[in-house]
Amino acid sequence: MKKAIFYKEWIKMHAFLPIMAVALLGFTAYALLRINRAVTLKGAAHLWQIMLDKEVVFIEILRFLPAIAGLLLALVQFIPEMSHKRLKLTLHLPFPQRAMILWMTSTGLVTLTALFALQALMLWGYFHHLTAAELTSRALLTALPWWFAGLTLYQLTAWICLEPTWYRRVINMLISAGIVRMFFMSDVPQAYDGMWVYMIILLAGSLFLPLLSVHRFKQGCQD
Amino acid sequence: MTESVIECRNLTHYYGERLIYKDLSFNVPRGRILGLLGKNGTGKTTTINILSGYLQPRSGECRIFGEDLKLITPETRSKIALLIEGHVQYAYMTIEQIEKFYAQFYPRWNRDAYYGLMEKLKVAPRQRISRMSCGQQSQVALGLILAQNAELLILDDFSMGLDPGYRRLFVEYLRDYARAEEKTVFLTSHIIQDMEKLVDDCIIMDYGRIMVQMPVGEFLSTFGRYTFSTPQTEFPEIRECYHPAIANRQGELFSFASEDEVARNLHEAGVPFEGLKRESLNLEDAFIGLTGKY
Amino acid sequence: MIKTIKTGVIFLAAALLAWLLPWLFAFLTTQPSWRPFTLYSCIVHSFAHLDYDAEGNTIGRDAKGNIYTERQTDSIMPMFYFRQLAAEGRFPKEIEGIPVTPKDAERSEFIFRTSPQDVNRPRIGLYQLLESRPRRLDFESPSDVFRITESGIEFVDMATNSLDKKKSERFTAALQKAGFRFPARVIAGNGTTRKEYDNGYFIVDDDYRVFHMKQICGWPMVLDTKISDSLRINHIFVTEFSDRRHFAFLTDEANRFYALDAEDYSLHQIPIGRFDATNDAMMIIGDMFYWTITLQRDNDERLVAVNARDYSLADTCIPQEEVNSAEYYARYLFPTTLAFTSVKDAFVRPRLTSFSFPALLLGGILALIYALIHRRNLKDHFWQIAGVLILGIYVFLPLVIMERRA
Repeated sequence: MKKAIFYKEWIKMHAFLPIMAVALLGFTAYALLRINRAVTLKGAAHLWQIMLDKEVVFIEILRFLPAIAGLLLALVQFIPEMSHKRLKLTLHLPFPQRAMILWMTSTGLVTLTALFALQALMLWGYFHHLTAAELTSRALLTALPWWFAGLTLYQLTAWICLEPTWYRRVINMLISAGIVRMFFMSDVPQAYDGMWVYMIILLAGSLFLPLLSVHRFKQGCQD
Repeated sequence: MTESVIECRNLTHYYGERLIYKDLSFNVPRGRILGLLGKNGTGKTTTINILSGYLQPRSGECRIFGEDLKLITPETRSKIALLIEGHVQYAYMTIEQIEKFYAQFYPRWNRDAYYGLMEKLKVAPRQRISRMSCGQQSQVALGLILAQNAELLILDDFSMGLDPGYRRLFVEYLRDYARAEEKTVFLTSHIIQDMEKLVDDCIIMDYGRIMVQMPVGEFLSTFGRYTFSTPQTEFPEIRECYHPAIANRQGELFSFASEDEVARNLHEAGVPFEGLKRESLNLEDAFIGLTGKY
Repeated sequence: MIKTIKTGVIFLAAALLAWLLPWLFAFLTTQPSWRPFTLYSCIVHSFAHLDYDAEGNTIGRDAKGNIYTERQTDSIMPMFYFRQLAAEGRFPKEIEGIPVTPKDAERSEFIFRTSPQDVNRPRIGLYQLLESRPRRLDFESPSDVFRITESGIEFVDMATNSLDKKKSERFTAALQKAGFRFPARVIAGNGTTRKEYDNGYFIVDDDYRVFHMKQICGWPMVLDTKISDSLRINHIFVTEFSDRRHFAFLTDEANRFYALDAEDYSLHQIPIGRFDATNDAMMIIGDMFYWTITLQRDNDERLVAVNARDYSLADTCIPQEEVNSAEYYARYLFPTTLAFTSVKDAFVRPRLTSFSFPALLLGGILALIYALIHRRNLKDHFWQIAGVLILGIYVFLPLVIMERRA
């Protein structure tokens, strides 16, 4: 049965996934090519010095990409569930309902994590080749909250989509906007170094939010 | 007494402040096809939603296969086939994908029943359901319901969107299927003609209550229309009669009572009449007679 | 389970409100706060600040209550406005009996600033060591960076991203020879090439001893400054000012502030009281006579004038603070404030501040309103009422908004 759950999520995602992968990894490649161009023109030392003096990591253009990916993937997965109340079909399947929702969101989370890991690998590969370990880890640690934002926003979007009433959906959106804002509060590289425990707690907590929406759906809440 | 597949006790529900019904109780015995009839807004869909677990009634209790709906197990859900309003299905799948998907959930999945129906559809196997016509989509949904081989079928407005030929086909198919395999069916439909050929029992709902729950045969044999001529222009209160009306000195009323009883009741009410006649009705006319045109 | 999730959502909403409501309140009620530019005058021996008269003309006021015209203000602060005075031919021949020229003023003036946000920020741990004696007049950007590990100093060539083993060994050996014990506690220097001269790096070793390291013609120069390890120096700011009088400003664990003499590595405590670089901001506007030191801790400001010649205290002053009425009201509205950023550092992390007991009053009123709404069913709402009482508006709003139509 789990296989069938993944199969359904796959059918919903499969057209969108290549686009998302190309966009995410393409932008990453573009960011790295831009750095490479600067290195070709001015030398690697120039890049190091700017990273040391100016508090930049050169991949700032990737900032919102994971969040957008998380948002879109959740929309792709959960709008079809909610249009015409298809969730009724899903919840009627002979499978524990909460587990069903958790498997569905896990499918998305694992997909996103895989994509982000690939992105991280690309960044690591390039920075590791070009710069010292300190600068490589600086670039990756700077991107860490962006990835957390992507995963958390995925969960929040699922929460919003599955919510049956517009009134609460708007409230959920406001709360989500506040939460997402938290991931983009500073331009300083590694500013989120002391934040990762809270980011993990937040992400772990957000896993359960879609269950609340489903509970309300089952109660028959409507506008 | 036959075992009840569905038991609802004292269901009460409101939407906001608006009462839908109060203390509604009914049973659906095993192996029966039960049609839920009622005008718009009497709570048919509300009842279906409660039975399918997507609405928590304000109070009251519902049991399906003896299990409280609030705590229904996945195993019991697998014995229930659900056709939701508008025949919605996973329209982003193709007919092959959707079969492959559902088959993994139901151990008694009847692949041949599904493909048997799909062959009649004349759609490309890789065509997405969303690209099909409304009627074709409905047929896919019905095909899946039948393939599930459930013991209880809950069908919300099953005839919606089907063309007359297929509707007839489906009604016959469903009737034979349910009879042969002792399935229990709980359904609603807008087209009451279909129900007459299909259902064993009917529940007719009025605003806030059940007016009638009985086998269709019994309903149609006892409920009739009475016509008579009368000089009256207005009727007083008459016992046991529904929707009395006068046009051109011709009186009309509907009742479960026998001709003698109706005559007695008219006398009692002081209504002069002549030529009292009883007519049998089809389900649609009986329904209108019982619930009124408006 | 659902109850727990619902409670979680309420708390999440409350946390967001605790963050955004005070922010919004402050945003809407901010008033321009103006702190006049104040300097210690070596002529009138008093703090004096710039102000405007009724017609909008610049005037000066000193702490003794005297008022000066703009022209007079220039002349009571000759070391600061020396360019203006020199252009007008009004620069004094001598101050406090010491002959001075505009050139002296130019050479001895400096501005030093540090703020908690400069100190508390993510560090990379890579540093650029300049060649102190460049071939040509200007400094060249180094081609390598260094890091100090548990066991030595490592130079990494930037172009090839590879360890320069020879140089690393050379510098590690020089440090060890001078008595340095790895790893380093503090590494301070200015890697920039845009400076007049280079004093290299000051490094505190594992034993709290302070070493001075420079690169001269590619070779290491390491000296033990002999600063007492008992002081436990914790911050060093290498100055490299034009007058070349000092190497650096330092602080120790007891929050004392020192100037390190460039002649003999002697340490001079500056009489400004407690200064914690991780918490306090400082600005020094200095010349050869006096340093005007502005110290800021949270919202309190303090001015200290120090005699630059013998580091003695010349004067202190606490500017009058205007009371912000909005802040006063906020204490009654918000039981606490959640912030993710701070003026004190460059990190993002949650911090609860401004706990306020007076806000319990509003919490009590809101709890009463909430109890009235649910008067038929008080028992089931005990925890909600308690939450509203303690966290006030932050819990009240989400509860009322989310329970609507429930």
